[in-house]
Amino acid sequence: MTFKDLIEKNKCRVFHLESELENQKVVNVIAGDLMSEVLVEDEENLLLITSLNSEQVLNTANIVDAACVLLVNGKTPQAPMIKMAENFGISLLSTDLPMFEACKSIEN
Amino acid sequence: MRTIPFSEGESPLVLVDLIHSTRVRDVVQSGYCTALKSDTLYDIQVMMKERHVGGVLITDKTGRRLLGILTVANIMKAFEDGTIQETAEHHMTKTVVTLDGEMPLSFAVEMFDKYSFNMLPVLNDEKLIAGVITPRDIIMYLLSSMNEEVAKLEESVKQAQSLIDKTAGADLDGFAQNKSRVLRYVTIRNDFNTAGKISNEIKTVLKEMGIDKKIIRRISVAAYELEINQVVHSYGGEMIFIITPEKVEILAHDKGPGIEDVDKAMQEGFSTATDWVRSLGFGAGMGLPNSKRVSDLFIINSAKGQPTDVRAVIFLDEKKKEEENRESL
Ligand SMILES: Nc1ncnc2c1ncn2[C@@H]1O[C@H](COP(=O)(O)OP(=O)(O)OP(=O)(O)O)[C@@H](O)[C@H]1O
Ligand SMILES: [Mg+2]
Repeated sequence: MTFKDLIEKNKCRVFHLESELENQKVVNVIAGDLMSEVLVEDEENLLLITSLNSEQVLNTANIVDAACVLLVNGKTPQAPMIKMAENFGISLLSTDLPMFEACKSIEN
Repeated sequence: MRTIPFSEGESPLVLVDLIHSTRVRDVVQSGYCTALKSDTLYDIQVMMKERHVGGVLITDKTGRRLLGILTVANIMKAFEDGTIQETAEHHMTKTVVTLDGEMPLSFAVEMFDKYSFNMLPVLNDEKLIAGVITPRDIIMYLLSSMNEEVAKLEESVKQAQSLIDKTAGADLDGFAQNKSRVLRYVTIRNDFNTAGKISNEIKTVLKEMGIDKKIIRRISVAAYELEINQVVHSYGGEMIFIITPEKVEILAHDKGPGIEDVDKAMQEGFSTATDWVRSLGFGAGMGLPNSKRVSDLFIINSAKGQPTDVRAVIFLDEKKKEEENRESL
């Protein structure tokens, strides 16, 4: 599944999208609301799925060089978050699905 | 209706923290007027005038158990109706909204916002009167707490400025002498607006220096976890980064309150974070174990009532790492 598929399938709202991401495959995924649990991860090009709608999500994503953040439960990021996503070059999406459904939707 | 100008998402964090951490019992006043239900409204009204109060608690003979409340509005009505010589019993408000000392102050603020009461009685665990609380008490308490918080913030800003002044020199000297850089930053307690900025800035600096991506990631993880710990758990502190061609050294030093049991704090999953901190995305109890895992050398010193000092070293050069490891054996 590519990020493009992910966006279509989950009817994601796109707040920032790095152009080269669309056709990349979703390989490494981590889901959670506690940032230190995300920082345990060693994988590259992460997709971070979270219901935490704060700037700390982007700080964390940048620390681990994540490729994309997907907010669940229909969370809408504030303007400073979108700005950070642009600066860091991290794609930022949001879906109305709850956490479990969003994770389930990702095929490997 | 005008609403209280306070909002979870928009108000400054020191205020949100203040409102959430303050309990009704911190603000409650023990000075209040009581009367018996057999007292006449006329007598009660004289007492209210003399003592400048807008409400009187009607109690049983012990003066501790609340039976009702009598306010200026009840008295005015009694004058109008010509019942001012009657006793309090049939004119007091019997279904009284009361507060519990353990409730957060924000709850009391909401109650005053919702109803037009001028005073709310506060009861203790045994349902006996602990005191009363008025909007004036809340204003006085918040103003004096805000004074303290602002004084603390001003102090932090002053410290930050003096560190920046010092750093400007240190940075240049170090760089000219041995190609090393020293960067210093200050963290502020509970300041989630800027938390994380230091580590992300360091990450940018290291990237510009052309350091390996994987190594940068390890340094950033340690820096971020230690930075957040200072913001969440300490009274604030400083983060010093010493970057040389061989290694990056992170020195995290704060102003207390220290860690009671360092061995426990180093265990995965151990956390003293509050629900509020957890709602902000921290408190998995993984921060210290994470920083240790990504570091080649990790030393932590702390005790209850003491500052917490952490030294984390990450080697940039594999050869250097082996040498130092051999030395330390
Ligand atoms: N600078 C500090 N000052 C005082 N106490 C600290 C400090 N750093 C850590 N602690 C204590 O050590 C505990 C464990 O820290 P650790 O970073 O591992 O987890 P956490 O901060 O609670 O959660 P997480 O880092 O996963 O978000 C903390 O809950 C806190 O009690
Ligand atoms: Mg931590």
